[in-house]
Amino acid sequence: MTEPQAPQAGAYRLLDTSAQALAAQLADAQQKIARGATLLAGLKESDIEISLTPKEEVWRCDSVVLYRYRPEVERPLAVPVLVAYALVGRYQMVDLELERSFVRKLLGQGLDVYVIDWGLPKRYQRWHGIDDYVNGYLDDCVDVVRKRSGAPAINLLGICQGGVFSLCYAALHPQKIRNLIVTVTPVDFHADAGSTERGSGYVNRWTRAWDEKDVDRMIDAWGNYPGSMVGFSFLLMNPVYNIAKYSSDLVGIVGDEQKLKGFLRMERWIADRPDHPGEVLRQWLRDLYIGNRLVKNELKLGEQRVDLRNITMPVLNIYASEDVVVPPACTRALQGRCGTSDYTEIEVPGGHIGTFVGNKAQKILGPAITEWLKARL
Amino acid sequence: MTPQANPFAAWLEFMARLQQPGDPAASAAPQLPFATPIAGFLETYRSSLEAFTGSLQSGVNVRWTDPAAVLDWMKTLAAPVSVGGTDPIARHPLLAGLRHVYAGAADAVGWGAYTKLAEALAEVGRAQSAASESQAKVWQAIGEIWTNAQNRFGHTLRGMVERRESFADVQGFLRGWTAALDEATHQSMQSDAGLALTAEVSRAATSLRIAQNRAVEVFSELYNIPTRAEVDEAYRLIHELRKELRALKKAAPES
Repeated sequence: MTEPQAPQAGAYRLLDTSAQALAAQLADAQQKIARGATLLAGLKESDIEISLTPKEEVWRCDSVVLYRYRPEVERPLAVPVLVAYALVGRYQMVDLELERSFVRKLLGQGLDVYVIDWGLPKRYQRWHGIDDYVNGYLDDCVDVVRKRSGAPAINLLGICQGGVFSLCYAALHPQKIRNLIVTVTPVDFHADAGSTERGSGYVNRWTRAWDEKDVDRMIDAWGNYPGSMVGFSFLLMNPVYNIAKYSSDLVGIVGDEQKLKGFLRMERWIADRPDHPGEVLRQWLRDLYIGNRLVKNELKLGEQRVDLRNITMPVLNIYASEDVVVPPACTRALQGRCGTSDYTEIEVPGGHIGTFVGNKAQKILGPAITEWLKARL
Repeated sequence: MTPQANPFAAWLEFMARLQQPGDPAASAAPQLPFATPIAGFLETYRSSLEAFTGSLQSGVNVRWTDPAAVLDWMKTLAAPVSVGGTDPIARHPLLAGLRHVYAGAADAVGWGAYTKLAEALAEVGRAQSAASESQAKVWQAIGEIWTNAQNRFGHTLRGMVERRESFADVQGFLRGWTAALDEATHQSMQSDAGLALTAEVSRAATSLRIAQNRAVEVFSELYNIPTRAEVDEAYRLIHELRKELRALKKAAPES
């Protein structure tokens, strides 16, 4: 904000605009920018690689790949964790860089971790609906992990949209899921209606100003929704600070090599925005954002109706205190709607993505998940 | 035929009427799209015939028995029908009717491609215009946001002066301005008007995309290139077949 300072002795001024003060500040900024420019010029592609935690591909279908991460302990927990991220971004968010890798944290805690990469959908995948992802790819991945591990039921960890897929999956295939963890996952898409919180729940607000025909026309016009436009939607949720981060904020870190690399790795991830499969987005916006059918147990995948009361395994619901993409009220609505008596909620500090890359959240998230899982194995 | 009638004047009246679109209210609007030009044709003919007959009955003396005289005034009728507008044919019932009857002629002489493409591109132009209008409203909204942010920042500065607080440096001052701009932006975007404007821009962009798709589709059809819709339908079929195959595989016992 305004960073008010204690009153100074002598003549009061809002800002010291003396030639000496301005020259000193300008010189400082120029020095930082010059160092940053030198650092930037010297960086190679390999300096900002992401997703470096060792892993192997264990299954592939269409654009979807299943990875198993190399365990970091000799005897990892017998029941693996399968991580399902959203379709709006790439899976590398959970393994952005070694120092702040969510996956690495889980591995270090002794978990056996599998992660699904939904890939970059091709034009032919425009007809793929949520049913295809949940009862198709996700079901295949669960079966692969079950077969490889020998566990009849595994742990499923869904993130955001992947969390919705995981809820659907757990409701439709409860016998294959031992424990369910959902993170920053919308459940009641209208729970924030009437909220005046600044900058919060823009997708919820935008879609409430539409009707179903708007969604149909959009998907019919585009087929797969371009990744650039998905990215633009996210940028529009915070239009001023998305400019500030490349200017005033960047000047603050540009001289620090580690911070600059971290910034660029995030930029790299942001730039790799996949196209969104058309029919998934149609159902996502129509049935969930507009119709709010998940929380009403009215969502249909193919011929099957998703009834959250069929989720009878233990559930851990993690939400971010400052999440403006999926407001906490939308996430916390899961409480009391599942069929399980073993329901736990954890709040982590930070925003939607900060849950997985923020320093504060990192300290809480991995250990909390591991502790919760170990108590249920 | 009465020699007292003036067929020249009557013909001019007939031609003049032909250039006037028929009265849409004179007949019920057809339900079928292709019936519209036919109805327009009929209505224009009825109206013109009425005028022609009226002129012939006006009693003006003409040597109607002299073929040479008849041919002479017929030559004077060669003035082309001229109508204005972006799509004169569509706006003129008789010409629309003629096009309906002789649509194949345009294709036969190689003009059909341009006609259909021109229609599709005209729609792109209209959609582009609507999109530009909605974008202009966004720029207007940005101007209002900027003004609101200035007011907010002014309020912040007055409060700081009262408390005798200062910015640590220029960067701090800029951060203060950014915060004010951010608040004003969200206030505008989250308002009912802001959300309605976002929806309007989105709808206009979708309409533009649909019009662009249509133009490309026309082009593809004209030159025997599979259209996007046709390819997508093939994808849909493959998708459904693959789903069925997957279900069968899942249902089958493992070998």
